[in-house]
Parts: sequence; structure tokens; C-alpha cells
Amino acid sequence: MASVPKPRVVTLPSPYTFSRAAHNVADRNRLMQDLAERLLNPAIKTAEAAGARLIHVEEPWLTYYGIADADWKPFAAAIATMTTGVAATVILHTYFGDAGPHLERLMDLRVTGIGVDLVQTDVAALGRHWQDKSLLIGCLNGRSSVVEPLDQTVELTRYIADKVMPLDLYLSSNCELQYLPTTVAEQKVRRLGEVAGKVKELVSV
Amino acid sequence: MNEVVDHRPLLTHEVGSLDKPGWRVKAYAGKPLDDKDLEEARSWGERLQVPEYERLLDLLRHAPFSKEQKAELQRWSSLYAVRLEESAGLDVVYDGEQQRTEMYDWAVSHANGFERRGSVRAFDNKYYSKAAVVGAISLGSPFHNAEFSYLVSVAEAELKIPVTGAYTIADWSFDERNRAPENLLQPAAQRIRERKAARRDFVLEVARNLIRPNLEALITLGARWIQVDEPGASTEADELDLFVDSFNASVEGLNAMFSTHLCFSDYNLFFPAIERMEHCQQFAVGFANYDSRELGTSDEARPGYQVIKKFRDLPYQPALGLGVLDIHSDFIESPELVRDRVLYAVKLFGDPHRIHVTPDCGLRTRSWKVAYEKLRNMTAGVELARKQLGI
Repeated sequence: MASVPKPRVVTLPSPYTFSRAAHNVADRNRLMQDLAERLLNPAIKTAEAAGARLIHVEEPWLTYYGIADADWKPFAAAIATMTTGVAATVILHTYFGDAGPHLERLMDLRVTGIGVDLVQTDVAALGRHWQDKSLLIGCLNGRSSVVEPLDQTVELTRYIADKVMPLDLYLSSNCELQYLPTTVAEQKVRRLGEVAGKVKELVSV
Repeated sequence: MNEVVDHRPLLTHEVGSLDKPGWRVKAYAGKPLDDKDLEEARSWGERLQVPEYERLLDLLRHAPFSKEQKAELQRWSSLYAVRLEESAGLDVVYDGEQQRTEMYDWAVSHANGFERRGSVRAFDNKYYSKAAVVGAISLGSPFHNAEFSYLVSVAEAELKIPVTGAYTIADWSFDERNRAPENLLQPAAQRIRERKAARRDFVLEVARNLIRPNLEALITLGARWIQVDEPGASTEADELDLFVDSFNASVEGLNAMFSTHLCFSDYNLFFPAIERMEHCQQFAVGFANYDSRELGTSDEARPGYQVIKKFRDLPYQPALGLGVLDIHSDFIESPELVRDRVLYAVKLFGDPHRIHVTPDCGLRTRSWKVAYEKLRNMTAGVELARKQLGI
């Protein structure tokens, strides 16, 4: 951690994705709770103690495969357990699917913010109730080799900042960049920085 | 079923790749060979009774190699692989793709319209060089003709040619034909509709303009059984119809037997989409990876094989390539275990003429020693099953 520039981000799997991807599990909700309590909460606290300020929790399963109604309550409990005693910002980042149908319930989870994959999710679905929640927008496509134009992405970001008005706005790729060659991934990361810089400049004006 | 390959019940064949011998890899890469490499070439040459293998040893002692000599070394590698499979007793063989770089790269290297973009992770710690399509796709030059012509001249058994399928080629490539990225402020439903239409055009263009002409070239050379490899087929659950359409567009109306190899996934996903895949005369499917290692022919002993009922009930009655060897493990399946997997399949699937016995997938992740032992036990197990069935 010491060699990583601040602000430090640590990425971890969501207990829901983790429990659903595991093999040979009799009770997945029990596993989800156990993971949150015995693995993820201590891992987040360790990262926090080492200087992490943003905990990025990846949740592709929920938006790709869905979630049963009956699993929402255990999922919310597991998230609450995972974040108990944590002071760092925790973002639950959904991707590989449309977050729209799940947003109402996602907003009730005990995390600082929610991440949405805008390649799959309609901007209009974000609504306007983000005054108490941070929003991470996956605004660069991590599965496409075409680098998004600066102006178009700045316009998107400004629109969301102005219309959705989240507590804080984070910019990211819609998913991990491991699906891209390193050179393309680097271009996308640089583009993200350019977008953030430009938006900050415009917003401050 | 094509009469060429319908000549015996419980026909045995390989599925595709074999590891490349160290001497072939090093010589081709211009790296120095050591005594171990020469001994590998000698011992396998002797064991498989490769004709005139001493000539290979002599060639290997004369590095560095010219382009022609490297091509000759690739042919030696092919010959060794064919002999390995024939020596193991397989009815239908190929060369373990010894002359190809890799299943995706080899096809893309012989296609027009693609540009390299760099290495991308495939799975675990395996990477491949991913390309982007930037223009019209077409066949640069037939890319299996040379190896096929050579194998026809040396193989004693029937040949089956593995060819990477259109869906997998497209799925493993970027589509940059239209470089204008989506405007994420547009409604998602509209964007997704346009994305799906572009994807469909892309996959079918690969099928029609790259894969199909290459198959036609092979058939002109005398190819009778072509296996279309589609490890990417189940990547997107909502694109299985597109996978089927791409297969049909690749082979429809061509005069050969076509089969397809589906790699590890939830095979239930393929139904009902593959009900329209009537040009596919055999599905080679890996099952052993999901099965127990216990002997027996009960449902409980054979959990990996339940889905074969669905393949049995396909309206066009394709054959089933029954995977009985786990290619992810050095565990050597006993002939008795192979026998029981086959007998169970016959019980569920019916006619043994419609069952072909195979490894789960290509054996390239195993050493030749392990691959050879597995294949020998596979053919021995099939003999046990034939005996028990009285066929």
C-alpha cells in the first residue's frame, strides 16, 4: 500500500457475487453472510488501516444473473455486516447488466455509494434521489477497444452531475479493464483522468 | 450420418489440440535445443514407430534452421502427433494442430480486415493476442490446406479437421468497423438494439466471408469431416441463436460431414437454440470434467452425463461426441471407468452407432505421456464396452 499514490482504492468482490460464483455450496446466503463477516469486513478494515480511502466492491452477478426477491434481505444484511465499523467510502459497483430495475433497493444498502454500468443502464433510470448517496458511473466501456471521445464523455458526466445530483460523483470504466490489451486500457485510464479534469474545470466555472 | 464415419459403433476420435513437443517449439522459436529435446524426439519416434525418425534427429542437430527447415520440423511434429493418435488406437485422427500457432491467432493471421490490438487474458494465466476488425472481412488465404494435404499423405486412419468457428472468432475479437462509440446519453434500449444488430452483422460476416470459404477450400482438397470448434459459443446466453445462425451460414449446402465441439459450460443453455442446427451431424461435448471417478452405470455414479438426454432428443438425430477423458487433470482414466461412462451413455442415448467416444476437449494442456496413456485407456475402455454390448 505504501507505494500506491493517494487516494488509495482497494477492490474487493461483493459477498453476493462471491457466494453465487462459489462451487458446491449448500446454503449460499449463509456463505454470503460468513464471507461478509469473516473475510470482507476484516479485509476492508485492514485496507483502511493501511491507508485505503475508497473501497470498491464489485457486484457483477446481481445485474448479470439477477437476484431472487427472497435474497435481498440476506444481501442487505451481508452488506451491512461488511461495512460495520468502516469509515472509508464504500462503493458497490454493479456491472454487466442493467442496474435500473434494482436501483431502489440498491439505494437502501448500507454503503456510501452505488456504481452503475452505463453501457447497459439507461441514464434516465438513475432518477434524482441521490442527495444522500454517491454515484459511480461506468462511463467507459471496458470491453470495447474504441476509446470514448473526451467531449462526449464530459457531456455525459456534466449531465449526470447537473440532473442526477449525487452526493459525490465517481468516474470509472463500466467494468474491469482486464478484457482489454494493456495499451488500450492505459488509453482509457488516461481518458478517464482527462474527463475528470475537464469536468472539474467546467463545474468550477 | 455420412457413410465415411458411420462405419462402426462407438467410433473413437480426438477433439483437437495436443501439446507441441519441446524440440518443435524451441526449433521454431530459434532457441537452442538440448539433449533432453533430442531424446524426446528419439524416444517418441521409437515408441510410435515413426518412419525414418532418425532423419528428424539429424535435422535437429543442425540448428539454426532456415524457414524451409522450420516448416519441415512442423511437418515432423504433425507426423508424430498423427502416429501418437493412431498408435493409441483412435479410429479418426488429426495432428493436434501442430502446424498452427493457436486456434484464434492462426485464423486471424490468414484473414483480411483484422488488426492486432495486444494480449488479453483468456482464462487463468493464459493470454492470447486479440485483434480488432477494422474493415471488410475476407479470407486472405486458405489456412488449413497445407497441413491437410500433408496429413492426407501420411495418415492411415480417417481424418477429421478441427476448424475454429465463426462465433468464437468474432467473440474473441473487437469490432472496430464503426469507430464512433455509443453515446451513453441515448436511451439504453436503442443503444442495445443497435449493438445487437451490429454484433449480428459482424458474426455472420465472419461466417460467410472467412470461415465458409476456408471450409470450401478444404472440401475441394477432399476433406470429408470438419469439426467446427466453438469454445466461445455459450459466452453470451442471449446469443445462442446467433451462434446457431453462424454455424448454419458457415456450412449450409457444403458437401462434408460437419460436427461442432462445445467446450465447458452449462450445456442446458444450448437448448432449444441448437434444435435449428440441423447441419451439425455430431456434437462433441465434454462431460468427464463434471463426472465422478467411481465405477458404475447408475445415475448416481455418472452425474456428469445427465444432459445427454437433451442431445438424444434433437429432431435431426445427430451423433454425440461423448467426452470421457478429463483434459484438466493428469488422472489417467482406467479402461473400466471409460467403459462405464460409455455403457451409461448407451443406456441413456440409445444407438451406439450415434455415439463417438472422445476426450472432453483438446489435450494440449497435458504432456504427451499423459495424453497417450489417457487415449490408450480410452480405446481399451471402448473395446470393453463393445464386448459387453456384444457389438
